[in-house]
Amino acid sequence: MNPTQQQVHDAFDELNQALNKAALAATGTDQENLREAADDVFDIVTALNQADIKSRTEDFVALKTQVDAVTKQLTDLQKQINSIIHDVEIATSVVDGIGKAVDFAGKFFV
Amino acid sequence: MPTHVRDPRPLLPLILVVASIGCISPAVHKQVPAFANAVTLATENTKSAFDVVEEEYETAQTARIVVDYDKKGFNPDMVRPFLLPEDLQVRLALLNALQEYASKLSEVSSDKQLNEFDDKTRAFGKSLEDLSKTDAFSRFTKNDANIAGAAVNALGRWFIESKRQKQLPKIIAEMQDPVKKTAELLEADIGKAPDQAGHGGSGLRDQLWNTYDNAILQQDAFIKKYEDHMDPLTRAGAIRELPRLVRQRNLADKTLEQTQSTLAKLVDAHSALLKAVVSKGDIQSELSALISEGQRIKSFYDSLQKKD
Repeated sequence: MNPTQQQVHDAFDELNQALNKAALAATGTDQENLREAADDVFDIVTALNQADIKSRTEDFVALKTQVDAVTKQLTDLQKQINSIIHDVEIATSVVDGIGKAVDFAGKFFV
Repeated sequence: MPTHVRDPRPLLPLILVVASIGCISPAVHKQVPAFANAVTLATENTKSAFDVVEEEYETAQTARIVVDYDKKGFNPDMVRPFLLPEDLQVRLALLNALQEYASKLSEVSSDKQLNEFDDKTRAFGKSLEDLSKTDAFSRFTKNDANIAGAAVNALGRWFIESKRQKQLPKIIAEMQDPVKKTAELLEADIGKAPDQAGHGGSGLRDQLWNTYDNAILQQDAFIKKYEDHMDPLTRAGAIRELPRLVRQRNLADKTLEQTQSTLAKLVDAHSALLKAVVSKGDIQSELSALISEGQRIKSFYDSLQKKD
């Protein structure tokens, strides 16, 4: 049976910890060799973590499309409400226009 | 015949119509800012989580370059980011989109547009009143103008509220799943620190933990390699850096763990918002909505009267 991604990750994490402990305890050339091995394993663990995070990138892209679509509905609702407000503005200018026309007609025809 | 009413009683049928649709629940007004705050917190903390991992990775990388310099020299390829810019950008773009949603939601559910509508209808009432002063409209009294203004205000508000009541629950319900999935994905990105045996680690927490361990290793190697060239004080300072890195590792991991809990709170805040927006409310709150709408129309009507 193939090991799971987490099992592979665990194996390298475990090795990384073991090499770190051994390198800290050692001195001289031994320490240098153990540290280099630990650095290589750390690079592998880093690559595994990078790949794990990258594996979700596409899901984030798809989610953003969904969030944008819902936000657009909110923007549309806001526009509909603004148009009701604008309708009253038009009605006010119509009433103002009638008032001015009546006033003007009164002066002109009398 | 001119109507000489001094109170808004002729508007009672309108008040009933308006109150029958009701306002969006006061609970929604309370939950929207709570959700917006949760989004801001989750966004800022998540951005910081990615930043801290990137910074510590850079520090450990530099420490390794310093220790290895005698043997390996320097090559620009030794300097690499932990995350590729495109992977990070996609996450930041989603968090920004969530903030945009929360901010639009605050705007649409707030009273800002209703207040603007009140101002516009007040101007409309004033125009009608001015018209009533002309000879041609002398049968149309100031009171008629005020009632007409208040009626337009009540009806307009009814349209606005009915649009909000109809569409907001649907929009918020539609967002429930993306909010939940976003939190789940970011929680998975943050992952877990490895246990004592090095098992169960994943994501940013695993990376951060190992990065600190690697930085500790480089610091220890640096001390051992150059201790003969250090005076006692410099050596002590370099050694002090070792326990500091251990404490910082534990603290940084705790911070990432807390970021995961702010993401869980984001989902809770949105669920509470959905609950508030779909709740029908009880009779008592409907009655108080009726009373408050009646009071609102009366004070709106009074504000027209006071303009003399």
